[in-house]
Amino acid sequence: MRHIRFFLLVMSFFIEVHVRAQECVGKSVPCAFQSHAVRRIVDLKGAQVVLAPGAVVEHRSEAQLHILQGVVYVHTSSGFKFSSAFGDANCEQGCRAIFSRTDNAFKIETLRGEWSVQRRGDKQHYAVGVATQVEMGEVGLDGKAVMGFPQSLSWDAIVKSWAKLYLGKKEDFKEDILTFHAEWKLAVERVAEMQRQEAGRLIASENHKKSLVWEKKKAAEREDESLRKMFREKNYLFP
Amino acid sequence: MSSQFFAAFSLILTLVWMNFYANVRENFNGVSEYQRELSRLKKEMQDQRLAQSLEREGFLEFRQHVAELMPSALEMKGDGQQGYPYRSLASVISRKEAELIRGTIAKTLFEKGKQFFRAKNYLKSNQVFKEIIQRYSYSPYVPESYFLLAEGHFQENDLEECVATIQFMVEQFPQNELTGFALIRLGRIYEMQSRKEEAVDIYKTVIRSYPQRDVASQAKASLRGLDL
Repeated sequence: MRHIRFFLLVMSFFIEVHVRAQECVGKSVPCAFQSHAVRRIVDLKGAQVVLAPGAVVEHRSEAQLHILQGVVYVHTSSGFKFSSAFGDANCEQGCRAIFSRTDNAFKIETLRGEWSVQRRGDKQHYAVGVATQVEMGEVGLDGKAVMGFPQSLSWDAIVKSWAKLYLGKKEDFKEDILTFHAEWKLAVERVAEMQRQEAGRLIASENHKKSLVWEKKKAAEREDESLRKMFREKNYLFP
Repeated sequence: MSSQFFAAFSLILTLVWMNFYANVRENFNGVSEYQRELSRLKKEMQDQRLAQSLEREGFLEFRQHVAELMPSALEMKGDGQQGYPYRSLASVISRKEAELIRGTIAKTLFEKGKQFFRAKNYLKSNQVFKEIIQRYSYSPYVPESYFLLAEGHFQENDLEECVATIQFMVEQFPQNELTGFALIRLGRIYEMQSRKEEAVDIYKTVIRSYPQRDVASQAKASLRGLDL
């Protein structure tokens, strides 16, 4: 017994005590936090969040997380809102997504569930299905944030970024990827069809615009011609 | 038994001594202090970065909010002199939009200049064309502005300025059809100054360098008029 006590006394020299700074995460709102050199996992009421290195977020209310910078992977278990300066994304439950935020854009890449997306200045909500992505930018002259057309995710890129931020075991990831792959194939077909329809509409509207521009150009040419005529007459360039 | 105990005791004693030595050395050579200072500074920097990000985001959100309200504000109060602050604010909200607005202003100014020119108010039209050249030098209306400016100077009988403007057109837009017309005007000025040989050279140069039908035919007509 005496030996053990002595041993413990000696070992106490080697013990390093790490005191972590007290943080507000999960205790009070609003609370801003960031990740540094490694990813950071944060459990919030209703969502599990993984911050990629360099990400900055602010927990604004119990069910709202504002993304300021970097890449964030989220896994919701109940209704949760992810906001940014350019727009918001909501999901009821069991949804997964990767959010990327830069100085002038906010991108949502959905991995599971249907997300309801709303851009700034627009009351309408847009449904973004699984395996698709949508990007939002700064508010334009029409008072609404610029929003891109939904696109299917790039397979290689999304698998790589999901693998880096995935919460769980390798086996679970494999299983999730297999399920996601089937959904991704359907999403590619769906988005391709939407793009085809949109391209048709754009071509028709572009043709209409072209004809208007042509008419304007012709009118301008006629005006220029009259000016030239006046110029010639005034300066007796023609006999 | 006692030898084993002695060996263990010696080993522990050595470790204790090594640890004591390391601690004493670290405490007295100042490295640990620097390390503590370094980690404190790192933490401070991270906190500052976070605070900065929050500030920047707050400003961006405010800017987006203003941009969101701008269309209705412009609709209600954006006209006339009183609306200037609103229009000014709208122009700085987004660079792309500001560029579009600059293009539109250049076009409006050019139309205004043409109106003055048609009304034979050459003094005012010259002012407008000069403004386009100086302030909107990348707009597509610049060559035409130069041309009408040269013509305005001619009508005002300011031949020196007219020649200078035409020379500038030759340097800046040598391929432009309007430069051909301006050169014909230069030939005309030489004719008026009784410098017929120089005028002939100018007309011949125009016929050679500007294959456009209108320019060439005018140059030929002027040359014929000179022969008569």
